[in-house]
Amino acid sequence: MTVVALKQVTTGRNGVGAFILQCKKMDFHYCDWAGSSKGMNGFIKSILPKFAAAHPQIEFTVSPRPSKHPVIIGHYINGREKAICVRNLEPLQILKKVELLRDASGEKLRRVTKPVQSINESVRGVWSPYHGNGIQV
Amino acid sequence: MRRLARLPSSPSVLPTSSTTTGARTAAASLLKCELIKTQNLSSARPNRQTWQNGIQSQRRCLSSTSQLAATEKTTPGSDAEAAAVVADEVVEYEEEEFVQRRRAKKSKRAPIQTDLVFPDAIKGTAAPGEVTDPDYVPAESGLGLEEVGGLEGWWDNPQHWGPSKKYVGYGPREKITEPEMLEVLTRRALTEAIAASFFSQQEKRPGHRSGKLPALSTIEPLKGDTIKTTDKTKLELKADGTPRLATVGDYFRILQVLRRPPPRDEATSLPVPPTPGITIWKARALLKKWQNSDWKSASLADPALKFHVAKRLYYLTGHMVPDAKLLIVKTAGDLVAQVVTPPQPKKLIEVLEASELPTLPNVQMFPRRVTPVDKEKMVGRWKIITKELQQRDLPIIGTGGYGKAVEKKWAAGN
Repeated sequence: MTVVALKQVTTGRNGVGAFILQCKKMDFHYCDWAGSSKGMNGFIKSILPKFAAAHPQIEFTVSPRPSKHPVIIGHYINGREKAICVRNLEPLQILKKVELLRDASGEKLRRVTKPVQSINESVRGVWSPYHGNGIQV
Repeated sequence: MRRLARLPSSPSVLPTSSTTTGARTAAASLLKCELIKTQNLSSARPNRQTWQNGIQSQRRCLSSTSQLAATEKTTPGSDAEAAAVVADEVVEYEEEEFVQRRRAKKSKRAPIQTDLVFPDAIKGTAAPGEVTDPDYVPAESGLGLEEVGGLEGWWDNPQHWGPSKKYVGYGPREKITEPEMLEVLTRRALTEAIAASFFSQQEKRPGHRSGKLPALSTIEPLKGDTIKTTDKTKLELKADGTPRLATVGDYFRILQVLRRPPPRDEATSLPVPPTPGITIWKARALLKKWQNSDWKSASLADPALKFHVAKRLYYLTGHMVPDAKLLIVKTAGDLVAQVVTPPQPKKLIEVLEASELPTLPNVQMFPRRVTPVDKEKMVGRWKIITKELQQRDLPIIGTGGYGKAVEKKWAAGN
């Protein structure tokens, strides 16, 4: 049973509402033999148990992928995936990547020019050409 | 190679002379001899004729010195030709004598004793005219006739080789692989090599009376009592790490072991390969007993001792340490590390099973790669997919021999 965002019953007003982590699942792929997986294997052995225990809302899967570089794949509630190759990285460097995946929204990367969005209607209302006095040209 | 017969120095045939002309002609003949030799040597592959000529020329050279001097007195003008004629006569006489002597020697030679199985003597069959069988019809061609006899493949049959021709390798039949047994046997090899190198040094001293030490290759294979001897023997390390046995009695106890005759198979009298003669449990018990001992740090800086230990270890365990590796072996512990195969590294999944990770409710672990089929099975779609594919007579896994879409190629304009 995968994590699904709760259906909106009430409308949150300007950030006053429940926070839901966008990352619902993380896959960890490693290779037993290859040297590029050395850091990944160390991460899975030493750091992942604590990280997984600290994030019960995320589902974790660990599976080998022989003769391939190590990869972490994040799955998000919007249905998108984000994969990061962690070849030749140290365990602490991998932890940074895992945190990045955890904090990501799952959306495509794009520049955010207006960080604040509001769903409230404007006090002035929406302009309409059929209302008002009209403009004399 | 034929041996050269020595010429008898008969005064009638070969008179001696010390005149100056005689010496000069002798020098000339020697020069001629050298020229002939050079000619023979210069040809890369001389045939048999050339070789025989060379031998004869050499013989002529050997016998011509004083004989030429004698002939020169009578006919100084044709000295070389006359000398050659006389020398040829002498050589012919010698060759005849040589052949007779060789024949006599051959007839006296005992028959060769061997356990090889030879084929039977050739059997003859009756000629077509002598056959009494009325049904016999001689064949008109060889086609379809059965082939009988022949020596083809005779030596490919192992039964035709005698037991003495059986290959007996150096060391045990199979390599010993258990690390504990290898460690015990390395210590045994070390103690015996110390004693062997000590007594071999004693042998080199003048006036020793201990008798010759047997070669290390012929030492008795491993027995239980020998392990006891090794266990009883105390190793000591000098200040520079050189190992030695604690008491003189230890040296002589091991010498007794080394001097035992090597066991041989009664039937074939071939040496018997050594057997371990020790169980893994016994080896573990011994290692537990020796764990406080520092025998592994014994220095093998002395090359003689190092080679003794390596050779003995090869005989006892079947592990030959190559020279390149011997170079980096400094102590007995290094030697153990060379022969012991490190254990296979554990897989990550095996390590994780012992950790707290599988106990977490939000963690799943898989021992092998998760394939697309596995993913379909997890969500319960695989049965449906299989059923639908079967209905359409399509391959369930793989492409079923269908190639890539040709239309793609057309669209790309390739």
